[in-house]
Amino acid sequence: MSTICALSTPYGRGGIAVIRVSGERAVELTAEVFRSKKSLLTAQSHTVTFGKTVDESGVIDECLVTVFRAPRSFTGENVCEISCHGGMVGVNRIIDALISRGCVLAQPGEFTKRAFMNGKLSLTQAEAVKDIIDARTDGALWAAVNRLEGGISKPINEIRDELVKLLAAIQVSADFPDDDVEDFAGGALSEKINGMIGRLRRLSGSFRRGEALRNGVFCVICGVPNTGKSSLLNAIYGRERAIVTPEAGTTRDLVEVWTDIEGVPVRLGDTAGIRQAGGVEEIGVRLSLSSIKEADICVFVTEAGRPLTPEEEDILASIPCALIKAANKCDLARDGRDDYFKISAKTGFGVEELRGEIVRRLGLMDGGSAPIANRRQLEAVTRAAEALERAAASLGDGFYSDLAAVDIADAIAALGEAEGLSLNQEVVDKIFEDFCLGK
Amino acid sequence: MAEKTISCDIAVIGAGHAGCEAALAAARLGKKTIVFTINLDAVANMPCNPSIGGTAKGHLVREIDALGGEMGKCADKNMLQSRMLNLRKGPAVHSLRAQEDRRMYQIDMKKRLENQANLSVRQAEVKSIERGGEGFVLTIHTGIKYAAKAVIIATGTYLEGRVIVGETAYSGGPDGMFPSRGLSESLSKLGVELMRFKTGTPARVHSRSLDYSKMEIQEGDGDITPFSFETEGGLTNKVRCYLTYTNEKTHEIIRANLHRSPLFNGLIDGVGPRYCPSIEDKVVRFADKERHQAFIEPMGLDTCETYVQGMSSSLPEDVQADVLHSMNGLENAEIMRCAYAIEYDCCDPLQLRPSLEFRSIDGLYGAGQFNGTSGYEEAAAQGLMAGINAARKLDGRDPIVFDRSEAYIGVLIDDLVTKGTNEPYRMLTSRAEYRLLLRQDNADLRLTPVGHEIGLISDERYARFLAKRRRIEDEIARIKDVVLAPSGEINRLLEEKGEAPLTTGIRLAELLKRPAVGYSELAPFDPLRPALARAEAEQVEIAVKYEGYIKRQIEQVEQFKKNEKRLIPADTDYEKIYGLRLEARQKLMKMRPENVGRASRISGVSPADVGVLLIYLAARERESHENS
Repeated sequence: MSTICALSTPYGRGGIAVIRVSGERAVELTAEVFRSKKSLLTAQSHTVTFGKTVDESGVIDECLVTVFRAPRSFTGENVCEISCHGGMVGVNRIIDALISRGCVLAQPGEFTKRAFMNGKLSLTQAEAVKDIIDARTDGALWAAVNRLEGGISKPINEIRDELVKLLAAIQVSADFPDDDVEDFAGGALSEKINGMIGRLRRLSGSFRRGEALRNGVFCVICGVPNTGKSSLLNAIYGRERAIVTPEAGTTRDLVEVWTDIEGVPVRLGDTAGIRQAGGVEEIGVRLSLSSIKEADICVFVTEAGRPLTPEEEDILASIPCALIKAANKCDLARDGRDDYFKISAKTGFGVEELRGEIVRRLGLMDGGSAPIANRRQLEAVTRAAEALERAAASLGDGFYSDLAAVDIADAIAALGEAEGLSLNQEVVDKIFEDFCLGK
Repeated sequence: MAEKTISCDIAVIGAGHAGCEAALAAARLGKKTIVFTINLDAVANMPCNPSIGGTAKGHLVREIDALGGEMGKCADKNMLQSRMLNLRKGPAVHSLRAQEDRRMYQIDMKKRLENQANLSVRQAEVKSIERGGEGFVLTIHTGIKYAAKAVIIATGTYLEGRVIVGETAYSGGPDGMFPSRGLSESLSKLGVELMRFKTGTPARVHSRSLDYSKMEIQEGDGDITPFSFETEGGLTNKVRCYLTYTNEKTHEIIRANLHRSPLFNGLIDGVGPRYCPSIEDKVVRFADKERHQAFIEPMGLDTCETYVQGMSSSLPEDVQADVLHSMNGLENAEIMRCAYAIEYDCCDPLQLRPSLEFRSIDGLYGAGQFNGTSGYEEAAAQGLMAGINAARKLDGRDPIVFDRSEAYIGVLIDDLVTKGTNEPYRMLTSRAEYRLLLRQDNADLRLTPVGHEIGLISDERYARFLAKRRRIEDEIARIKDVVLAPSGEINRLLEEKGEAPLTTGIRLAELLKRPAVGYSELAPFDPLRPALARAEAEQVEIAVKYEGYIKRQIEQVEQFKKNEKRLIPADTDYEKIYGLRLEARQKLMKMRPENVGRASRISGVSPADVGVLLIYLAARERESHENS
């Protein structure tokens, strides 16, 4: 397998950058672009060596190189981590030097793939590492780290353990019919199973938060011109981002920012005010309409103290997703409508509540437990719930409890898969499809 | 020392339930076979309870029969009372158990061995086994040597047997027999790792001393299902069994005398079975239970000896008497043989291949309690497979190995050779993941074709089997086709059963899927129904009624087979698979499982380790694919 290298810290930022090299020849290839008093080749695992990186033109940078020898490294291969100064010119020169010696630039996620391939990570952990890299907010990071530490498996494991016990209870009376062990009555069994179906369904519900944490939520601020939509965006974002003027129709392009609301990454979009217009503004209006269609949630902004215009009624009617209605400029007029958030983007009045409502309305409040994070886990948990529903149905029909055991066994197997611990061949095949491994 | 060596193909050491099946199978497959027993009067003895079958054990007996073994036939012939257990539960756990005339069973089985061509039965204690000739050389107590190409060890509880009753312990075999001394040592020299297990049996009491009026009667079934698919009905119950209970006074006596029990005073080091605990064990472990059951079972028609099931004990004889006398109906019980515990040598079955041949000793097989099991049926099943596989080995053929989805025999052997056991292993229905498919009623459908291919099922029997299978298939197809119109009579029947009445026509098969509706009850509404034997009708009903469950279980089996078919190359270097935990790596290196499925069942190999292994294999395949 080739030796790969890539920048492991965010591109173009920070005082220090780390370049990671992984593969059988990681130490020797790094040594070829590194000058130090003590040769890197003899460096022990988990030690740091000070020196200078060089290429044909001379010294590039002063660096620290940490050596990890296989299998005691993140990828399970020999790994060098070159800590250098953060400027991109230097970083690029080091990477070019490594490539000229025989390294290959790593594909996105390739270090994680290799760690997974070498058995350093379970499937769930590999998925979590990928999420940590992509995390946009603290909440997303927390969820990913929690999964890396096994947080996800806990609620699933608990249900699985209970099912195993249930199965044993059904079987013990079959194996020892002469002993006066208590027979598992159908009613008590159904009750237990129904309880577990509920818990599994709640777990699948948590998938929505998991997905939101990974992919973010798209929130569009919309309304007729000059209601203060851009001011609201700035107020929610906490900084000046959109241009604000007293003139109606200032915003003609879509302005987007990412912000963190209660740990959920929210993509906030300010739109051009919607009205019959011409020219450049018309294009902006069309953009507004199409982003409303893509949104997960819309904040509709109108002015306090006046009834909706026919144009505003039309906009409201066209919103297909979750909706928050806001009456802005409450510092100027009173508003009597109960279903409207009273805010003032200018003074900041009511903005905090409105922010929180964006996440609440989507049911994404932090529930505490680590959510199901991806489709694979969701599918397995759903399959388990369906198997238990079949078991409950057959018990309801008056079939023997030992037949329900067939379905309970299915549920146990599905939950094992959800944990990512019990990999079956199909899952492995799928991983190879998704990750393009072995190239 | 005698000069002449007597030669045979296969030697079987021990003529208990394992040894009998092994010897019969080997001889029937054309191998010149000798079976050795310490005492010819102990052939096929039941030194513990006088019954064959029970939960999961009954399944084994029917499988043995479906493959052409002997136990089921002999049990039917000498049956005193028969019951199908678990009839109030689903068909997967229905299990057959029969009380047997213990002495008649022995005599009958001995006769079957005596009349078998190619088979010699020899009373002798085998003192040593060594490599030599074309395989092994056995030396018996008189110094005579026997040469055998393959040897099957089926020594039961005889090997270095030690009997313990209270504070008394002596060297001895089961049921008053001599133990086998010395053979253990030569097995160790051959490289066999031995363990020490323990088991026990209750007292036998004189029937005239019992007051049956104070006990509950246990009747047999009115309509008896035989063990053997070849037995043509006509079986009747000849005796009754009885049920009585221990009480607070019994438990007090036991607790007051625990210090005299060898289990608690350290006289016994062997590991006993959790599934068959002694009465003192039960009283100590389940202290809050007010009473324990005891079944009173006759040992035979020509004896007054009566077995007290559930009261196995190693307490001193005087305490045993007090314990029995404290129970209802046993106040004057006269002990004829006292309860005892017995310790014996057995092998660690992890040394065996799935064929029951020792991994590192070519041609040496183990079967029965010697392999760490308990129970006559478990023993017979292994004996049959060891006999078949030893014979096939001499013919240069592949062994017959059933996987966990094919037979209880497969589950039993897979558990033994993959997971091992640290107590005498008992078969349970809960050990079989696919028990809805592995029912006792369909053992012939599952296994008789294999038995025919092996050569233990005659062409005549096979032809009868094929005709039966055809009738079942035809009838299933027919009732899936026949439509029943709503009528007053059928709706009255449905109403009686609490089922919804018919409003439109319904296929018979659909109607049969309703839980409360039975196949035989629909006969009056089904004039074209062919005459089927009871067992055939039962197959039709089960196949149709539980179709959905059976289908799902078949899907589970397909999932399971994927890992069974995923072979692990013999040259796999587990040291190079970094992600394996140390324990898993060591176990895998020691056991070298043939496939991923077996690897996943080794204790100490976690699901995560299996994931690592699967990924390693996939990556390795890719690499070799790319390199080629």
